[in-house]
Amino acid sequence: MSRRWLVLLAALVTLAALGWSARPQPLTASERVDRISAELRCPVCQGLSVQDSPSETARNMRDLVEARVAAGRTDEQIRDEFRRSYGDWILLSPPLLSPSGLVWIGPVAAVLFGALLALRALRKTRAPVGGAAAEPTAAEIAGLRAQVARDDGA
Amino acid sequence: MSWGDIGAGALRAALPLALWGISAAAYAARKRDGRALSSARYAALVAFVLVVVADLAMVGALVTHDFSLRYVANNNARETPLFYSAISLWAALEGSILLWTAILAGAVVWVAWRGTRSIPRLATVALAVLFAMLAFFLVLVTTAADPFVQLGFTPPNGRGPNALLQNHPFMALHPPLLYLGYVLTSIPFAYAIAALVLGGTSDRWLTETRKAALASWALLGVGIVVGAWWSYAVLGWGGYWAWDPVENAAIMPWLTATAYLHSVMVEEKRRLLRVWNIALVIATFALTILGTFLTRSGVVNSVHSFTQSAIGPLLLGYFVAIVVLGGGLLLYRMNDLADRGTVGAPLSREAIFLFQNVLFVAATLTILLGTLYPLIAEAMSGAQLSIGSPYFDRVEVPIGLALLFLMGIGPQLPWHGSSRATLERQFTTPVIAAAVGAVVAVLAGFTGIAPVLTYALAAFVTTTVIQEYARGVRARIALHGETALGAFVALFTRNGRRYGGYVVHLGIVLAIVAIATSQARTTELERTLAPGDAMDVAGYHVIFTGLRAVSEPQRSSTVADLVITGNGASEHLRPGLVQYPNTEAAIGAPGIAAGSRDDIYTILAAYDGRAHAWATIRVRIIPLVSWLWAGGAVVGLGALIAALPPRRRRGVPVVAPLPDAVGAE
Amino acid sequence: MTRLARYAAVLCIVGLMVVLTLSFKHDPHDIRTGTVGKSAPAFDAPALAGPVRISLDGYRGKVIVLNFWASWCVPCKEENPALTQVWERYRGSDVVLLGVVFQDLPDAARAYTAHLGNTWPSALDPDGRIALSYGVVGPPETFFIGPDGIIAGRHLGPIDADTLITAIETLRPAARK
Repeated sequence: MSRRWLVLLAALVTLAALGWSARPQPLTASERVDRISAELRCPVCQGLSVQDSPSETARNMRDLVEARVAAGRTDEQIRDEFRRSYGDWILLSPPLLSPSGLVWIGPVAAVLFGALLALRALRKTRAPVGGAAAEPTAAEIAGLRAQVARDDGA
Repeated sequence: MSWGDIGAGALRAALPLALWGISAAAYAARKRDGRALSSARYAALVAFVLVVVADLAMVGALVTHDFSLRYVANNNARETPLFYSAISLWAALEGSILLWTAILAGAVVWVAWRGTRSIPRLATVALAVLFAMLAFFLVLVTTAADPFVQLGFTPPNGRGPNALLQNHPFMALHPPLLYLGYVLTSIPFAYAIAALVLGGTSDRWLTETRKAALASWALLGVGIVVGAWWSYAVLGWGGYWAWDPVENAAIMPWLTATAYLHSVMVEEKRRLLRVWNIALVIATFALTILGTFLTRSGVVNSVHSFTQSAIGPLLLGYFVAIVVLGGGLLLYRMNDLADRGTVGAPLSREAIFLFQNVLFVAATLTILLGTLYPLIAEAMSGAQLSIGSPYFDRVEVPIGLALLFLMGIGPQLPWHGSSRATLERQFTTPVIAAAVGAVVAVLAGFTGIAPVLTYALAAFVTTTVIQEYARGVRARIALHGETALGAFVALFTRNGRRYGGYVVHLGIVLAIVAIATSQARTTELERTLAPGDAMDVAGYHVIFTGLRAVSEPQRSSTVADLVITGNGASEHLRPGLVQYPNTEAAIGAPGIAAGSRDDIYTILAAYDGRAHAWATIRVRIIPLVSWLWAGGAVVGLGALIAALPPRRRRGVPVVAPLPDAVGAE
Repeated sequence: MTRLARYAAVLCIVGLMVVLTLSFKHDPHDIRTGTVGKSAPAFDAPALAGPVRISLDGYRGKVIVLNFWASWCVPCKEENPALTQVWERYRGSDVVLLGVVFQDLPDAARAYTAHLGNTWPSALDPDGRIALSYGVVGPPETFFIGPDGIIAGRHLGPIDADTLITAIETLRPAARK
């Protein structure tokens, strides 16, 4: 099997593993409680989530989430109940579709704009790419020599 | 004479010296005057000695419990053990600024005596910049953040240090490491400003400050890991990173410094990205000040938030001055510094560095945005909202994974570009390793893209690094006839920068695997138990044997005795709740059994205070978390190797040092 | 493009400075809850003092001062004289003072009220549900509920008699209409 096919196969296996890991899985009740309380801010702590905080308030909130999950409420309903009493402040990450959802645009814009600048710097001129090495031995030895020279020189 | 008089006097004597130093260094640079330079050097030395005296006076006051000083009365008590008394120098705002000033004064001395040897004019201007910073900090410690304020009376006892800060010995390590890192970023900054002031296109400021940049980066990195470790061992929630504003303040300059350490190589090899590199140096330094402002002025809520003080406007003014001065000079010199060539091929090492820089800067901007967004929202619409770990995790994890990918590719690509055949040869094994990593992760039961991709990329990067070492060793054997081991060692001694850099990469891989695994696979169980009862968590059997009250002079605590067996472990843990007289709520003191596979993290959440009849125990089994600390240590080791002076082959003449005079340039 | 990047950078930095300057006005400890202006969440909870239950519905049509407190809370002790004064002043009128015990052991809370001689009713909130429904951050916290059942105001931290009386009196005329 040629090298190229081997690489392709390995890449496919990786993708398959990733796809398998991302398959939708039904959440158990306690996983739902974990997920909801990780998104809720513990009001008496400073920036810790209800999931992480050992405080009594966080414990009460977790119990309430558990009770609501058991009662069949949806995630959205449970979150809204806390938002009613504490405001948006109680959510540790603002919902995408809200005035504060703007905060999600920042990182995307930064990456895209930066990538655009970088690509532009690359496009200015294409430096000639070194020729493909037909016979590895000669090229490799030259490479090795260059590398050792670099290593000693730097 | 009291400790307070000594300290206050020393600081007030140092301030005019720093001011004198600014003018002497500036004059020396302008007129190439050797006497002015040597005057500035002695000013630096004496100022340093004075600031150290002030720091020692504060330590003396703390250790001897001199409560006539407000700082001591607020942060110390008769019962505070000697060790925690001494390190209370950095337990609160004024003291930490005092420590910072001492480190900064040390940096000034270093540049004054060592820096001005090789490139006098540049270093002399840089010295003036550093003196200006020192003067600013001396103004701080003699006005808004004066640690030596006298109360006018001596209370019988002090309040004692913040409970969280006297609960773990890592407090001795974490803040000084961070401050060292912060202060060292000012050396590349001062040189960059000097280069901009003097004009020209020389890159010598860059080679001169390589060590300082590397050292500040490494100290910040290790300081951050030690801080995470401290927070893990003290805060009692079983985590190590909460995206707290103080943590964000520390990681932002570290990220831009990481970007700089890579892009600087592009400038060295290809004379490109000059403007960009200076911008990164300015940004790194400015971010250290911004972080200090954010956390010390009380404008953001933070675990570490120090009490509000008048220092806020001063720090903000300092930050604005740095950005305006740095940014203005950079804009002014921009056209002189414009790149002559272009980066070129997209599959070259320099191109990867470019993308890597984009991602690092985007990660930094995101953290900045997330940290400030609650302030922005409140200023704009009055709305109160929170930005916490769910936001940062969601945004930073993809950026981090992309960076991990580039970390595998970058070192494999040659400068100027590569051919397709070479690429195929180089990436065959790593891509297969990635597939194996992904499959192993899936078989181990990981779900979700992020952890599986982390394992795949970790295997990918590790393989490329091993390949690099193997290539280097083979080359040395072929050309020098060295033994395999000798060749391996020689890689580090001959080109520590490159091969030490790979050690850093391995440390980062270790840390990232630890983070991904501990985040994805932590098991937690909480049970209320009577003495003799037991609970089972993830194969561990936890027996609660009883509660004990422990009394020490400075605190009293209640401790639960737990015996843990299973999975080959046999541990006796004692999580407790500690009550300090100056703190209302009890502080949790987790009982932790660290292991190379799992950490057993136990917390006493609540207990029956009267009859000791029950206790609520929370047990967290956190896999691989100790690899994170190990990763931090490997990163530090790699940085150390990279900082080693390269050993030359015999027969190569050592470049003679330049004459030690300003006029020589 | 490079020019654009330059402008964007300058703009970001200027914006940053403006935000930082404005931030001095911001107090991180002032946390507003979402409940002010909304109808007061109902509750029906055991009374601290005895076997009866306290229900918010039982006080409909009155001005209610709802005070969250705990025996371990130092500023609560500080505001207690003001609460006592208000309790004495409005006793038997259309104004009621109600306490809610926040994260406390009933015995400790009873000892506290006995020690301070507090005679107004307090409700127990063992699982913290009442506090959560009102958006309480930490005691002491005082809510003012109008006769219409709407939460008119909230006070964070220890309160003094003047603030209490002013808040009550602004709600009372509405009760007479």
